[in-house]
Amino acid sequence: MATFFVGMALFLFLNLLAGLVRVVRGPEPPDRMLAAQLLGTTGVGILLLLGEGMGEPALRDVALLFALLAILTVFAFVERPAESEAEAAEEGEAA
Amino acid sequence: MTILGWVLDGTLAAVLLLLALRIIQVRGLFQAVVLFIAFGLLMALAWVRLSAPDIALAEAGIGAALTGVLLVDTLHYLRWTTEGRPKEQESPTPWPIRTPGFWLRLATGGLAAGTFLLLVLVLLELPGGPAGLTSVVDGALPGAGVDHPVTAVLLNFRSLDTMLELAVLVAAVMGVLSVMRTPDFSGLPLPATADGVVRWLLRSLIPLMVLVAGYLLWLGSFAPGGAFQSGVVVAAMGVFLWLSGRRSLELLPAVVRGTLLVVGLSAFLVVGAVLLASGREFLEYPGEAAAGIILLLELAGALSLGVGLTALFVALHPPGEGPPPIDEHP
Amino acid sequence: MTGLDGLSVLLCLMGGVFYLAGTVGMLRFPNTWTRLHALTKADNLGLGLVVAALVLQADSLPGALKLVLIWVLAVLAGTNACYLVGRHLLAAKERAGEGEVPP
Repeated sequence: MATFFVGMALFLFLNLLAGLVRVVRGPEPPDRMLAAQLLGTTGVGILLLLGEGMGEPALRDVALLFALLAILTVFAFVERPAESEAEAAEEGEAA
Repeated sequence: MTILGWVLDGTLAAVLLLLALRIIQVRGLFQAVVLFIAFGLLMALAWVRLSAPDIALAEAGIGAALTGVLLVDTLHYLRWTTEGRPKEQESPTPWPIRTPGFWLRLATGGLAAGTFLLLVLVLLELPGGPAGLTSVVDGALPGAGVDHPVTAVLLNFRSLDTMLELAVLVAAVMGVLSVMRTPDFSGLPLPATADGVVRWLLRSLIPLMVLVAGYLLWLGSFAPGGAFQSGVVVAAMGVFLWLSGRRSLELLPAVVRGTLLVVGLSAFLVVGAVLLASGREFLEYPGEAAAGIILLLELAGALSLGVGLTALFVALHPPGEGPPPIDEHP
Repeated sequence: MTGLDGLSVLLCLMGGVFYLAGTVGMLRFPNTWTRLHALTKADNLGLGLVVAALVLQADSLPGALKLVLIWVLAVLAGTNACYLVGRHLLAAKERAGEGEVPP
């Protein structure tokens, strides 16, 4: 069972990486803000699964913190937007 | 370790390296900051895989979230001050960056590569399996007052180091506050959000975060947690309030603010002085009182850390008008 | 492998399917609005199923309740994040003059 959970954690991790591709490519700033939410839900899933698979119940507390920090980070992105659309368009061409 | 474990760790390591490369070479600064936050959270995952949940907690909180929010805020503020308002600009960076010359880059790269090779050599020399002071710490744990070895080391065996870390925090915050134009925190950069959802979020999250901070503090006695992790949550609370335009630190009288900032360091000094006066070494706890002393020191440390980190955020803007938020809703 | 373990595996795999759906949506959907939806809804549901699987494996009732609490917090974070990002995107679109109304 523990191996299964670690395997599921690996699967979720690969999903996370695929999501990061969108964060790197995403033409607009809000696509990048999704990073915090992606890491918030997928990261929490990975941590909970690893907590069971590695036998470390402390990882649940790390997952708790991840969820809290995910919302804080998105809040910061939204309240302090720091990218204009012109810059985003330029980066879309340069990337 | 199973095959799956190896695949997970290998992929994680490769992703961390690639992400670091991408952060350095990407042109848009907002992109770089977002990737930096992702990098920090993946580092927390790496610490988890290394069986170090305490560091994972601290890394996720300070290294990823708080530093990331600080960077986002700095970027926003820089853009506002250099252009006057967030509009189109000619270049992705708000100020001209002078790329260092070829020889300087070569020398820096060579130095970094040399240090890396040395670290690899040291790693290869390490004896496999649990080594170092694990057995010593485990042997001394019963009399330490806590059940968790990391907390025992931080708050008992090496509490001098923790005290000095808190001194560094106080010094850093004093340095930042001394370059503020009005040290009385009178400037509020953002108007209070009128958004109903955000207000509901604040009403729900702030009490929950108080609970989580207390929980992490109490948890430190027997599981990963403790003063630093709890202080991070306290700081996150302060940052939340500040981001939504609400006063937190500004409401406190200056005396209370100053006291909270130094209470961590002072607690260590007071406890040490009392112990010295009663004939023991500095910070040598008597066995039966160790648990209580450690909890007291952790509480003081968490308060200092939380208030100090929040002060860093709040203090970084001059008073009066700051950059207006883009989303204005009645 | 007991029946409870089998149920856990099943729930976990279902959660994985939803996570995969969310990732595919995030990569393949045509615009930011739809990508936001894909990420928020699918991933949170996936997390819920994974948490359900782990709750079945939990040792004690407080442990199981803690898992559920973490899921509730993650859902809270996810939905509010979706709202905040959507609001920001709407304001940005309006400022740019595109005036696009989300479907």
